[in-house]
Amino acid sequence: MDTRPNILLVLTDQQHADTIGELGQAHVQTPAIDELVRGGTSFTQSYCANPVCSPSRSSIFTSRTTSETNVWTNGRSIRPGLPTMGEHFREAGYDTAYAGKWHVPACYPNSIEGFRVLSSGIGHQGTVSDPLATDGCVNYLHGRDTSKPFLMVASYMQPHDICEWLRLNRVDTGDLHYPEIAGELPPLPDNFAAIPEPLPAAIAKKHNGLEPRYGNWSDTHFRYYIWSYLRHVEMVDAELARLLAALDATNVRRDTVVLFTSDHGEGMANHAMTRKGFLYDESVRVPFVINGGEHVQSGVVDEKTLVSGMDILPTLCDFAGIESPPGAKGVSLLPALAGSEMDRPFVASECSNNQEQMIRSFRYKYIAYKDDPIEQLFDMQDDPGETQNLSVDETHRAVLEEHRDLLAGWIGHLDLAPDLPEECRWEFD
Amino acid sequence: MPPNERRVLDNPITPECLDRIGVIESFPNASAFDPNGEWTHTYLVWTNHGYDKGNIDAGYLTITRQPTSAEMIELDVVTEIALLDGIGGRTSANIRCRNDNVASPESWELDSTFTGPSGEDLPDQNTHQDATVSDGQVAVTIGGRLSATPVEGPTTGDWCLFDAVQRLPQNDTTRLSCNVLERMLALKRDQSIWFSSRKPARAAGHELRCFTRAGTATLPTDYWLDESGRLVLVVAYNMVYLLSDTAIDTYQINLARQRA
Repeated sequence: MDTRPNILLVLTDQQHADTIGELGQAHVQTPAIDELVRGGTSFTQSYCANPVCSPSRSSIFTSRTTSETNVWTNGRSIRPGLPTMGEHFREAGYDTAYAGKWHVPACYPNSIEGFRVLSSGIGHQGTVSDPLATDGCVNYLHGRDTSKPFLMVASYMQPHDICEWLRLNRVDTGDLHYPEIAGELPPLPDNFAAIPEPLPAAIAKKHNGLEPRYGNWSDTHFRYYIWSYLRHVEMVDAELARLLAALDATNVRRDTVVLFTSDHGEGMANHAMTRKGFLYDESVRVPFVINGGEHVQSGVVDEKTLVSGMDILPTLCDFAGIESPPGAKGVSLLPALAGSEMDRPFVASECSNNQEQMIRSFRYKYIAYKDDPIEQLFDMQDDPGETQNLSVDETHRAVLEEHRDLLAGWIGHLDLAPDLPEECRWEFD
Repeated sequence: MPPNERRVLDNPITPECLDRIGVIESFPNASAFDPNGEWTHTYLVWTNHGYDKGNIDAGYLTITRQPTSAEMIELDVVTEIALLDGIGGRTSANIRCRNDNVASPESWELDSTFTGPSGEDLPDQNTHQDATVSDGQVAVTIGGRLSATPVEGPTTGDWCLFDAVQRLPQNDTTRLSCNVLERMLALKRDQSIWFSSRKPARAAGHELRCFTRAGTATLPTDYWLDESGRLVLVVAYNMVYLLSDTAIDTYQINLARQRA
């Protein structure tokens, strides 16, 4: 009998890191995610490899950067020859199943290499697709072949439907559509009005978001947007509750490692931003909780270990007792789960068709913009809201140069996709 | 659809908006509708991406109501969704409800099935569940395996509300609190239901009034009723249920297109 653990990867879409009740968000109710947090380890400094859907997902399923997978924007296929999670686990004898959004490149295909597809969806429609994704997972758990351990991916669209909300509520009419909820609106974030000058041109365009500028949003409309966004998070929490109940009902909960995370974040009015696709924390930092398995301590909130979306595959491989695919750029988090300090000085992310690069060290975040001399440097310990750009502060000159060197060294050792366009490549002196 | 062929809607979905963009053309004939009697309503499930065009006729929902005594009713529900790439998702349920203000379910059977992209049955992807709401819990049994979820206060189902709202007083004395099982599967706690103070809407030549439901894990849902008290439209944020004689045909055309 195969005694390796089952693995459930729960992937939400566009979930801001600070949307979990148990981790301090007072304006949301997330009992299912809270249960995972209380019974597992949460990593609060977790960064996706690229804060856009297809690129991030390509990194999650290969443990490669997006300039290696060649998925530097939506709608691109993973570079041929890179083994993906499903193929790798299936080869190792796992029963592999997938429900929900794939988006590398097709949003909801009926066939994914290495996985049995349980349910697809309707493009960018979490309200319809997510319940059926859960149905697919629940039905699978009740009907599966129990002679093998499973790797099941439950890939939810929510809270990504906020993008539809933003189109439907783009214009601030001055009145709440539902005045009855006026008393429930959350406050604006502390860094709502922050403009950390000097601003590189690319991020200057994104400040104040697309919809707020177009629709002349008032503070109340921003708060209504946050309220609505948190209801989207609660929607996916309700689906997770069904999933966890099915693990219990089929008596596999104790033998299943659950990893909960998201492909990228959402503006949520931080810097007055909406959506994603930039390298501030609201877009690039994501929830990351691991629950279950003999290596996972309960109730631990790890605020120190730097985590990358590329760590998911090596970590799950380690739980399963199999080697990571060759060339993986992430690392297994099992040592951190056991309480050891990881020897990892930074994590990196790419963005905007590889025109933006991030190095997140233990204390600082450095962002470089291609063909723009203006950089960004934030002290994430003293300024987690990213309100002061220290790149022009002489007292931080050495820190800036250190991070430039880290970025150059990081890019220098990547196995770039052979047909990565010239404009996506970075050269350093 | 190419971006230049569609426009952002800019405003939440209302009956007037749906009328304007041609989603509502007419409602089926309402002759002899009795909210306390027997009826069958079929709704088109239409999903919106925030644009005026390029939206999707995703499936249908049929509810048949049958009083079985003075105190009890039965709802037979079938819903099918045509997923991308030809996968079909079907849920059917027989629900026994109290004839109260939220049509509270007491027990039900529910079948969840999937068909593959070529229409093939997937027997290991089907489940049958038996469920009850009693003694402060929702108890669901699948294949002899029990899941029990505690609930406090009145608990109903969203399909049950499709019946109940047609019998609620249309004035501001109506204000209810309950938990709602969406699709009789996903528990959404602490929902409030009230008669909306918004002025009546006009669509397809009808004057419509609405109840609104809001609470945890959901965005506000509007239940629009016509002059006969019949539920003709439900706007659940970006998903719309539209009373329609052709919903099942529309779904089958969509499914066939996905499987082509």
